[in-house]
Amino acid sequence: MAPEAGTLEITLRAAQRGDVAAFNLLVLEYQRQLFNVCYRTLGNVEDAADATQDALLSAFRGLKTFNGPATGLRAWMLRIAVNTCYDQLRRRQRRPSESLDALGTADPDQDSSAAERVADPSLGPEQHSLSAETARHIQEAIDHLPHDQRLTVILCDVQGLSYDEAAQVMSIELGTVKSRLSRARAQLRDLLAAKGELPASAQRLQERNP
Amino acid sequence: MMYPGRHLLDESLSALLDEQLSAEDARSVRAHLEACPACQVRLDALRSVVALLRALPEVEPPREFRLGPRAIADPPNVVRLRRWYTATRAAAASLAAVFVFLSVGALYLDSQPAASPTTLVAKPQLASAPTAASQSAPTPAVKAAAPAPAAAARPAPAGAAGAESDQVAAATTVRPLPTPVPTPSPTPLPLPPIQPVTSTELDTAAPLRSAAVIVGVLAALTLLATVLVRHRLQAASAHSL
Repeated sequence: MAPEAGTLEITLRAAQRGDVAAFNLLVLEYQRQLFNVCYRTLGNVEDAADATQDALLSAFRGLKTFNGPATGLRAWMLRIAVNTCYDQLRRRQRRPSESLDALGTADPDQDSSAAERVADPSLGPEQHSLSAETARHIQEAIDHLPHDQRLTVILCDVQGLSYDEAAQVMSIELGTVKSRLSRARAQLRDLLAAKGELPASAQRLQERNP
Repeated sequence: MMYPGRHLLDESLSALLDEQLSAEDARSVRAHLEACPACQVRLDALRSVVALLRALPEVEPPREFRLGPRAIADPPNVVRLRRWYTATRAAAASLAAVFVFLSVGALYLDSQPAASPTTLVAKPQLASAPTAASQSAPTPAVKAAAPAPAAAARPAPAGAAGAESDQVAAATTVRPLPTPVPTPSPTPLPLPPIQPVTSTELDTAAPLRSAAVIVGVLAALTLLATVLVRHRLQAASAHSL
């Protein structure tokens, strides 16, 4: 699927000269991953689509400042998407009415309708082993994480980036990736155990420390 | 890092899952897990969490994100500001050019009669002298013939007449050998128009100067407008980025 390194390099240089057609080849290459990072971070399709479009536009305008080899382009694009998501999350925090929906409420029944509305059209055909409900519970748990932990766990565990790449994308130290990831996972463990999404053996954990 | 009696940290368990522990740390963590079911449960739970996250389905983007010409185009306010910027810049540049032109013109005209302002009385005399000289090379001869028609043609201020007669006297004494004048008659004709020419020369510099001042002020104002528009344009395009 991925173009050869040489082709990518040529496409990148053309796009840096302002060739929109060349840039759109890069868009086709990265849009899916960028959108998925935005979707998992922001929790709904519309915000994620807007953030992806904004990020790609910023990438096009700032592409001249990217002077590394084409192999670093994915991390660079992801960084722009991550920053766009941070901006969006900050804007939400300034508007409390929206942040209630976005961050979910303490009562899971109350916001389940909103979450379902968001999850159903987007998840599409459920060809994965996860049920739609489990996927929704995971997304709700992710939505409860602090922003930094949320992005770290999305990049490392959902997207499968290496610690190195995640550190590069978020401009943080390797050790910070490690500690944020472990805190995010531990918190998700507690949240998902509370929803009954973990195997029976792990549920005992929930009984011991509520 | 590991204490036999205490439970493992989540960070150690998480790093173990990703095989990010050194060989030595991994050994001691595993040793603890063998003996501690509680930590084993926590590890299993973490492993399940990671498995669940990895199993999250990829979401299909609702639309294409390729950039179209409209997406790349600047927003309307930036376009408008850019138009204003071009217009004000062009106006400032042309006004500045006109200002320079007028200033140079005024300065040039000022420098031309620079010698005369010292003696306004000498003005008509200075004017008549070159015309007389242009008639023919030998001045004294003209002087001998010219004064009468010149005085007749002009209003002839008293001072000028006096100065002229003085000069005539001086000239005749210096040059005792006058050659005959070839054409004494044409002299009265060119003389009258020469007087108005000198007077208009004096007047043209003044309107030029005031025009230069007005244009200069306008140029400064448009330059200021250009700077302001440019500032707003930069702010607007930075915001849209």
